[in-house]
Amino acid sequence: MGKKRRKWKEHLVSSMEIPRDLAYRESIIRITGRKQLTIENYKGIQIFSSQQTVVTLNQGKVKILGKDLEIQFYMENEMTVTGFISQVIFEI
Amino acid sequence: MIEKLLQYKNGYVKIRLISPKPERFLNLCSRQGILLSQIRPAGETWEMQISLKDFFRLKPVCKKTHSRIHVVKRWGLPFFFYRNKKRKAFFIGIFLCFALVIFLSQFVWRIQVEGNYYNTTQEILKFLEEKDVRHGIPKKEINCALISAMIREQFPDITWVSARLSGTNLSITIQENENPASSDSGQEEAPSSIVSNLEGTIVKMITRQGAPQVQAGDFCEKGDLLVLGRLDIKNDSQEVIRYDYVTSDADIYIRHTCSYYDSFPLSYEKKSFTGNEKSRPFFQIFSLRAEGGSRKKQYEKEDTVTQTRNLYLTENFVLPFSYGTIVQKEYVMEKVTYTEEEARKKAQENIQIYLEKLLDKGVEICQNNIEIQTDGSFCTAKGTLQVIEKAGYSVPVEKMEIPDT
Repeated sequence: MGKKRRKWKEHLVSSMEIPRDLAYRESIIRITGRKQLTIENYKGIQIFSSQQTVVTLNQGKVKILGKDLEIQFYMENEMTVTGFISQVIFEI
Repeated sequence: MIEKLLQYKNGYVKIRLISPKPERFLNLCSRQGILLSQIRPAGETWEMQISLKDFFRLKPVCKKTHSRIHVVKRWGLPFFFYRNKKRKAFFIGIFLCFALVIFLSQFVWRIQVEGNYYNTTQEILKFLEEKDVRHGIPKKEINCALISAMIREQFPDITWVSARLSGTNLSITIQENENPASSDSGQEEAPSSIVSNLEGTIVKMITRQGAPQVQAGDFCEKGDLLVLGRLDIKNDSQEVIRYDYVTSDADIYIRHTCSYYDSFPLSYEKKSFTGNEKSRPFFQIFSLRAEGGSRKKQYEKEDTVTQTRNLYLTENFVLPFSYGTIVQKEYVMEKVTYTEEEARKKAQENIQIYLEKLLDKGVEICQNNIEIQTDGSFCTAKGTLQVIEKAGYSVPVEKMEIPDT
């Protein structure tokens, strides 16, 4: 995608107030306290253990570190990780 | 909660996954729309929950990822039925229970009367029983429109009736005529005048129909004519050519003085509960009651309090069973004497109740000249009240001959 075309798209998205998750398929990450994390629009799980979970997003990855991690729900578009979350790291 | 019930209905299993690539297994499941939940690592293996329907779709995923799965635990109705397939009596029992519930729901188990004030619930229920509308009657025999019509016919002071069947509950809502004499349609038609029933000064007068004979500020006695129900129709020479008769309608407020007298003895007997009580349970089916313990009198002087609880299946589904407790409480009669302060307080309370009753009737209180006195054995409250009250009652109009012109 050319630079001009990208800029034009950005303008269109911001002027029409289209949510970025719909326009760019960006992921939504919602953290509730330190015990629950919900991710929408992800690609898949790369690593999963009780200490860390690496989830592949459409742009990069997110690493969730913690203790006693488990996946509450694992669906096509949404997943919920519970446990004691200590860090959330974004990686390219 | 609903989700869990649905899950239980469809059945679900807890599986243990032994796989060289568990993440791939999860990703493949999500691509195929297989919902996994409660995924947690358990040593070298992983444990997760899956619905029974999705469990049978796992085979190709397992093949692709070279995984093996073990069922650890099973929940839900499909497993329950499978486990208990030999217990025929149990299922027959469940079936009979549902059949009984459905059968019992075909009858009316509660008749609720609302909105009645002058006519008691017992009176209305007794009338309905005479007309074969009683507890336990099949619902199909209930005709709500007919019940409404019958009640209206039997109780003329009931102006509006609504009978409604909801579940096993027959709800009868009624509206009564608060002033039966004045709004009786037959009497309304007849020409009438308004005559004073009080002695006092007229404060306010609004005449809607009829010829007013007095005005605000006038003094009137009992029996004085306030509004005449005859209108004199005159010609240009001011001669009466005919009379028109109307039903007088007016709001007349009269200020008058009424007296108040209340007296009560200072010493009286009071029931004092000793705290000794014996309770026994009971269970009732229809009108048959089974009581536990002895039915004889437990104490020389006793009060019996019965607490009954109906068994409900739903909010409106009342079963014909009830249970509760019968408590026999011992009491002794004690002679108590009011102190002067207590007596005054009680007299004041009585006055307050009287005044509130007057206010409820729409009477306005202008002046209160009541005095409370105690004389050793009696407490007396007496005096006068100046009140503004709606006055007047209807009397038929005397018809007159049309004068010759």
